[in-house]
Amino acid sequence: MALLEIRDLSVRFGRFQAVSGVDMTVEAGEIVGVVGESGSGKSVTSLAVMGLIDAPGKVTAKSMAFDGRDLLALSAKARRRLLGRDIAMIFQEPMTSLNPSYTVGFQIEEVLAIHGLKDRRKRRERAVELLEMVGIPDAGRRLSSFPHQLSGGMNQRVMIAMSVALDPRLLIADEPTTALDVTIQAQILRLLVDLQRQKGMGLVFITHDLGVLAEIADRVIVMYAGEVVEMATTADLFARPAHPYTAALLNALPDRAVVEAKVTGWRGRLPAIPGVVPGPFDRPAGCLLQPRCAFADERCVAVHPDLLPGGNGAVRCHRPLMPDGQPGPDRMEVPA
Amino acid sequence: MSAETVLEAVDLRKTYQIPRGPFRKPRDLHAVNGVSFALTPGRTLAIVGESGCGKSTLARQLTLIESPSGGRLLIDGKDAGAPSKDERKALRRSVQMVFQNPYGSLNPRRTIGAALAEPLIINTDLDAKARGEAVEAMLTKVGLRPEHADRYPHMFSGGQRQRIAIARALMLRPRILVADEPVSALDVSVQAQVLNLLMDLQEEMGLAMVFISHDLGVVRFVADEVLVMYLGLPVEQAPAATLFGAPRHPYTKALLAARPQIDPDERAGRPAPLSGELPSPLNPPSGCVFRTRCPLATDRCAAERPALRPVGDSLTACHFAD
Repeated sequence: MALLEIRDLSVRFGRFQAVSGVDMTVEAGEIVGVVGESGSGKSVTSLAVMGLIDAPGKVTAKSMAFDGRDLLALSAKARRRLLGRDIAMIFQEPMTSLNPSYTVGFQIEEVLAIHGLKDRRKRRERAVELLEMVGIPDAGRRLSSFPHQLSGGMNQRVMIAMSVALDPRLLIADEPTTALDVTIQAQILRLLVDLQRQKGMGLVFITHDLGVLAEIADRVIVMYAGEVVEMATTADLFARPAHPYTAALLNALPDRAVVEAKVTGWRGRLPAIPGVVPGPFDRPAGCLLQPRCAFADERCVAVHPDLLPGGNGAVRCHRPLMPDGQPGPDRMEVPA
Repeated sequence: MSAETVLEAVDLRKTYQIPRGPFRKPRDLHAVNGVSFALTPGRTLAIVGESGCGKSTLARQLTLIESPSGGRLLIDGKDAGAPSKDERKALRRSVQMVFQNPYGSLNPRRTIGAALAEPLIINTDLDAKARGEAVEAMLTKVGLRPEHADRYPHMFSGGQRQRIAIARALMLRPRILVADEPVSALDVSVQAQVLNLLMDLQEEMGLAMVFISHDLGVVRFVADEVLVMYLGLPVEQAPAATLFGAPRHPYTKALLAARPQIDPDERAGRPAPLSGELPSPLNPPSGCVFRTRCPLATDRCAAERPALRPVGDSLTACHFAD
C-alpha cells in the first residue's frame, strides 16, 4: 500500500480552478519531485494534502488516503493529530515561517509539547539532539537564538529540525531551498536526502528548479496550469521527455544551450517558450498548453487530452514526443 | 585604457560606517573592496557571488546611485568619481539600470507610457508627440504592443513588466546597461524570453552590459567575462569560457560544484559541497577571506591576504592557484 495515494484531486477558489484532477502516489522511502512554473498548482496541491486550504477554497477528490486512511473522511481534530506527527511540511521562506518573537528552542519544544512530550528537561534534550542532527554547531546555545539572529540557511535547518522532530513518515517540502544561496542550497539538499534515507520517509519535493530534481528525485511529476502533464522516473524524464512542455522547459534552460554551443560553436538565442502561463480566467480551450506548443494541431485546440499511460510513465498529450523529440502518432488513431 | 572602453573601474571601493552606539567608534564595513575591470561596447561582464558579496553595491556605484569611497570609475573616459551636478546628470544618461523585482520597480499608479516618457521629459527637449512616438517604438522593440502604453503595471505579467523595465532603461539610448538579477524573479520559460531580448538589444544598440547574477547557468550563457566576488573582494576574474572550463579559485570551483546539474555526466566526480556559512562582513577573517570555508586553507592563508594575480588567462586571488 502506498504511503500517500491521491486520486482526482481538485481545488477551486470560487470560479478559479487552481488544481484539477491531480493523481499522485508516494511510497515510503521515495522522493517524488513536483515541478512547475508559478501558477501551476504545485503548492496548492501540497496545501490540500496538509488540509491547509481555507474557505473559500474547496478541496474535492475521489480519494486522498494516507497510509490507507481517507484524509477527507477524518474529523478536523483527527486530521490535525496527523499533522506534525505523521505528515510534516517545510516551507519556502524560513524567515517568515518561524515566529520572530520566540526563540528557535521554544518553537521546536512547542512541537514536542503539543504532541505529548510533557517532561520539560526531555524536551530540551530532544531539541538539542535535533539541532545537532541538522548540523547546527553549538546547538545548546543556539536554542536561545531568535530567528533574526540566524542566517537563512540556519533558519531552514531549524525548520527541518522542527519538521522531523516526531519522525514523520511523509515530509512535504515546498521550495525549501529557493531562497538560499547555491552553496547553502547544496548543504540543505544533502541534509534532506540524508534524513530521508536514514528515516525511510516519503518525501514530496516541490520546486521550479529542474536541476534540483535531477539531483535528488526518484520520480518527477510535471504540472502546468493546475494539471499534471507528465509523470516519469527521473532518469527517463530528463533523457526522453514525452510531453512537449517538459521538453520545452528543458530546452529553455541556459545550461543546455551552452552545452550545444560548445559542440557547434554557436552563440545564439535560447529556445524560449512563447507566451505566458495562462492566468485564472484566460485558460484556452482544448489542451492548456496548445497556444504555446510548437506541435499543436486542430485536435489540440478542440479536445482536452487525458493523462494516459505512455512515454515512460503517464503523459497528457494527444501526440506524445518520441525519443527523437518529434511528436508520435495521434493516440486516438492507434489501437489501445 | 583602450579607446573603445566605455566603462572602467580602477580599484573601486565602498566602505560603510556602521555605528555601534554613542561611546564606541563606528566600524568599517568594506562592501566593495578593490574591484577593477574595463568593458567595451557589445560585451557583457557578469558579476557573480552569493548574497552579501557586494555585487549589488557595486551595481549601485556603477550607476552613480552611490559614490565610491575609493578608486576611480570612468564612464566614457570621464571620471565619474566626484562630478559636478551637471556632469553627473550627463553621465547618468549613459548608464542605466534594470532591477531584480519588476513588481517593485514600476510605479503602480502611472501608466506604462508615462513611466517610459519620464526620462525623456527630464533629459531631452522632445515635445509630447515625439515622446509618444519614442515610447511606442521602444515598446515594439521590447516585444510589447504600442497600445500597452495606456495600461498600468498590474495589468502585466512578471516577464512583461521586466520587458517594460528594460524599455525604460533604454529610453535614453544609454551606452551601458547594468542589470541586477534581471531574470531571477521569472519562471524558466519567461526567463529565456527576457535573456534573448537582452542579447538582441545589446547587439542592436551596441550596449556594454554589466550582468549581476547568482545563477551560474544564466551567466555562462550571457557573459563574455566573469568576475567572482566573495565578501566584497574579487577572487577570480576571467573570460567566461576559461572560468567555466578551468576555474582556478577554490571558491569558483565550489560555486560550480554546488549547482544542481541535470546532466548526470556533469554530476560525476565533483567535490563535496562547501561547509559552513558566509562569515560576517563586519568581522571578516584575517588573510584570505575565503579561508574559513576553503578545503585548501593553510597557516599562510590566515597570515597573508592573496593578491589578485594572473594565472593562465584568468586573474585569481589564491596562494595555491596555478
